[in-house]
Amino acid sequence: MADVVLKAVEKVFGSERVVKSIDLSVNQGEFFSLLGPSGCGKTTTLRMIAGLETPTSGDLLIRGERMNDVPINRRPTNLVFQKLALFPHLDVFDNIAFGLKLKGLPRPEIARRVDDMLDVVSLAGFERRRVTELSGGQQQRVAIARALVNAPAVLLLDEPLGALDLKLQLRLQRELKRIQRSTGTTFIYVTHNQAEALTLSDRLAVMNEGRVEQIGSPADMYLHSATSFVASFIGRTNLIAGEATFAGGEARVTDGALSVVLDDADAPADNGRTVLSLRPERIVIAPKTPMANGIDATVAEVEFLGATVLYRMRIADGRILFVQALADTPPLAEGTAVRLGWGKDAAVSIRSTTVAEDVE
Amino acid sequence: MQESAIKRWALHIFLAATLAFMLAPILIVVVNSFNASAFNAWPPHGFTLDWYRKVLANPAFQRGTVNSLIIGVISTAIVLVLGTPIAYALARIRLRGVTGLKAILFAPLIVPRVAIGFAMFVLFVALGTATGLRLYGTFTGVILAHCVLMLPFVVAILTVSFGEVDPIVEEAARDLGASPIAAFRLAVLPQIKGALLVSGIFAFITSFDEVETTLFVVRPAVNTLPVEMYHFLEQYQDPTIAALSTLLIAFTFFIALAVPFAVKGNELLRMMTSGKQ
Amino acid sequence: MSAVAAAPASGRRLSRGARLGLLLGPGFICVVLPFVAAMALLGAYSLNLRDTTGAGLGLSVWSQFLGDPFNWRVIWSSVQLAALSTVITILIAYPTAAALLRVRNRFYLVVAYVALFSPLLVSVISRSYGWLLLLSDTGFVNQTFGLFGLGPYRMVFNETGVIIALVHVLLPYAVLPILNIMTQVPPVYREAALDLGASGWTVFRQVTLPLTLPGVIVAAEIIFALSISAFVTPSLLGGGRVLTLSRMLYDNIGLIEWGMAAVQAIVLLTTALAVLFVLERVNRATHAARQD
Ligand SMILES: Nc1ncnc2c1ncn2[C@@H]1O[C@H](COP(=O)(O)OP(=O)(O)O)[C@@H](O)[C@H]1O
Ligand SMILES: [Mg+2]
Repeated sequence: MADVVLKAVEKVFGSERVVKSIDLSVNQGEFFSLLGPSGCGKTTTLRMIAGLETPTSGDLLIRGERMNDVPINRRPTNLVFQKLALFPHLDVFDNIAFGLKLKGLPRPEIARRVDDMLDVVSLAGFERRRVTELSGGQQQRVAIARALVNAPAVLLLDEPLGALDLKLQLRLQRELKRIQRSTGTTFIYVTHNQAEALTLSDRLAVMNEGRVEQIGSPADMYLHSATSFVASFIGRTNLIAGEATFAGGEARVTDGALSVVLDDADAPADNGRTVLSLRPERIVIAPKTPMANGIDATVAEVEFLGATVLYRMRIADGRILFVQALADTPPLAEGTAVRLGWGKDAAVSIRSTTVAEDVE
Repeated sequence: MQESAIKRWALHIFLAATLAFMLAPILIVVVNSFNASAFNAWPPHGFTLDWYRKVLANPAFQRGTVNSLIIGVISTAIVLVLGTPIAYALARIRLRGVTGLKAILFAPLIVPRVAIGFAMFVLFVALGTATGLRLYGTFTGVILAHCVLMLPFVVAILTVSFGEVDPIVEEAARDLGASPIAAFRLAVLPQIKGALLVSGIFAFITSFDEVETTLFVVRPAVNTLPVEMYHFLEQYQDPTIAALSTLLIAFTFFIALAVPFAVKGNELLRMMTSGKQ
Repeated sequence: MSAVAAAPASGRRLSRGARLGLLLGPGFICVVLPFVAAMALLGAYSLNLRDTTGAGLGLSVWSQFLGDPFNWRVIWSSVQLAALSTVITILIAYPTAAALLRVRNRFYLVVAYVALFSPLLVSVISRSYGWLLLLSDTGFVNQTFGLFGLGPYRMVFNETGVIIALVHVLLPYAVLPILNIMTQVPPVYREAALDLGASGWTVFRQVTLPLTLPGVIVAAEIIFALSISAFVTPSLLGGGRVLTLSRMLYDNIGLIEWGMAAVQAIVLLTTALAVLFVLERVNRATHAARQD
């Protein structure tokens, strides 16, 4: 069952269309992420779901009820803010109890639920600490507890780990996932960090310039990227664009010095401009057996990543091809000339959209 | 960095002299309140508490004190109630024409108090003739005049404090189920408690000591204490006024020094500076 | 942005205008509007609105006021008095602020602040009375001078006493902005200048003073405005012999010369604003000069 549904939701600030006709459906108990570069409208979308912004047009439904005109304090959602927004004048207990007190629950009930929640976020014993005295990670947990204690149907999180150091981020990611599984709450998680989104999400939506480019599971997104934007935003890829020609059950796309052969079933049906995504790990260095595709290149740059090595290979027309190889042999030196090869099924045809910047 | 010792000592001596200058008129008033000489002879001719007896028995001063307390408390309450939403709006809502609005709002800080007093007097008399509304020489009139003087001061302090409260805590409170008013009361107001206290105390002291505007809008029945003192001093200069002043100094210092217990000193300083722009 | 003034019953948000109206309305209607009306009425009265002579609306009071050289002398002496008080106050406030920054002893610092700001907590009447006691012919100061065979000097019921008492109450207003800007000037500038071999005096003249000048000008603006409009202090310490615009205004009300009083109130306000305007120009100019 769908917990949150957005139908053709738009948001216009002044003359700027910040969110452009978004359609989304988030299932109950799902960990759903909105992924996209900074400024693409993720926060605005989340704030519309929370009730901090009103959609300019379109419908927003939560558990089947239209929410467009329901004020924020009457929605079954709670938000973990990007800047946390803890109440500086209250201690940990009173921060977490804030929503329960507003509901007018009896004191013992409040104390019990806050205690339970402190256990969930591993902050037992910190009740009477001032929130300003806590570390970043602890403040983060208070923010999550403060929202989650109200048992919302949907918990909305806006880059909650963005301000923390990497190690803490990874630890809290695991904790978030555990909390989400144990409470069964629907999570909608906003992030610009693709690794985080892929790690955490059951499904995710990739956003770009106010639009949703693709919705699907992390594996789906990676293996069957629908657009060039998604392909380059999720992981790294080589984009090849050119006219497709068909001959003898094969399709050929030529782009400068590159000429890629693939099964014609994988290419668009009509002749014309085609964009292909060729993942770096699908390219083989110095293939032992001949492959359907091959090209000569020299090593331009070497990036040692531990388990793998990322090469920037220069081809005849001067362009760079990313190639990722297992680091089971010593890396090649810069300037080495090599033969590269890949199979017919390596490159996938995608829709062309604005290409994401080169993000790690 | 090392400064020359001479310069340091010169500055310290200068500071000590300044502090002596600042305290001198206040100390002499306190000392003179016990002076047995009715003509302020110096050095004092002996010790007496007669002047305190005279002050406490003086019906004009008694009435003035009661009037001043009533006027001070009511006008402070009014400017806090009216000033808080104005400061909130100035800090939170982006406005076109805000410069003009502020110019009018803060004008009483620049317009000479004597001119304000006279203008209010003229207004009260004109309103009285035109509508029968009685403002001149009434509590309502004096309170209104004091509110005019105090409102910009209170708004200035509170605007700064509201500016320092992250608007996002209000959104957080709303998200957790608070109505707009509850969000303001539970998430914002507690954070500006100190500023409310400071501006309230300064407003009260301003009202309690105010003469220059008040002189124009009072009639004997509602004379405030400083106005009674002013008229008294124009005629007599015996230590009665010293005794009364000593009592007042003790009173205002007691109120004002209670502030640092509520707010930190440097915060206080910042608020005072910001209020004077 | 959430609205304090949204209607909780319907759950509907109020429009921006309605919110603004609810937040600003009460204060503006109850307090600001009467003030504006009063000032407007003042202008109207200066134009003979409340006609007692049968002259009708016009500039007759203005021409009467401006045509009398005596009034010009009063304006001029008011400005002089205020300017002199301002200059003396600044000259004392600047080193005082510099000294305060160097105080390390917490207790002394608290005492110093309380002493410096005490005039704000003490009624102007009490302060003026204190100065009358100190400065009178047989007062503390003259008695002390007498011990050294000096004096007595006449210091009350003339401008000397007025200026001394004004400086006293204005000092805290001057120290605050100067202190404020001094704490904002990073010591590295001075250190760099000293490092380059500049003498202490040169550093002060070429580095510290220019950098703190904006604070000084702000201080001057505040205290000039306060001193030109002072009324009680000049009245009590001047004993009626130091005539200022504000004093004249008060007397005219007693004489029921309301039109004239209105003109004087406006002249007083205009003079204060004119000086503020000039100082603000100077401030801009020094800012601009520092940007270059
Ligand atoms: N209240 C607002 N008024 C005007 N523009 C806004 C407002 N909030 C966001 N924007 C604009 O909308 C765009 C998307 O912002 P946002 O939703 O915060 O992006 P993201 O969270 O993906 O970084 C940005 O260009 C931003 O400047
Ligand atoms: Mg964002």
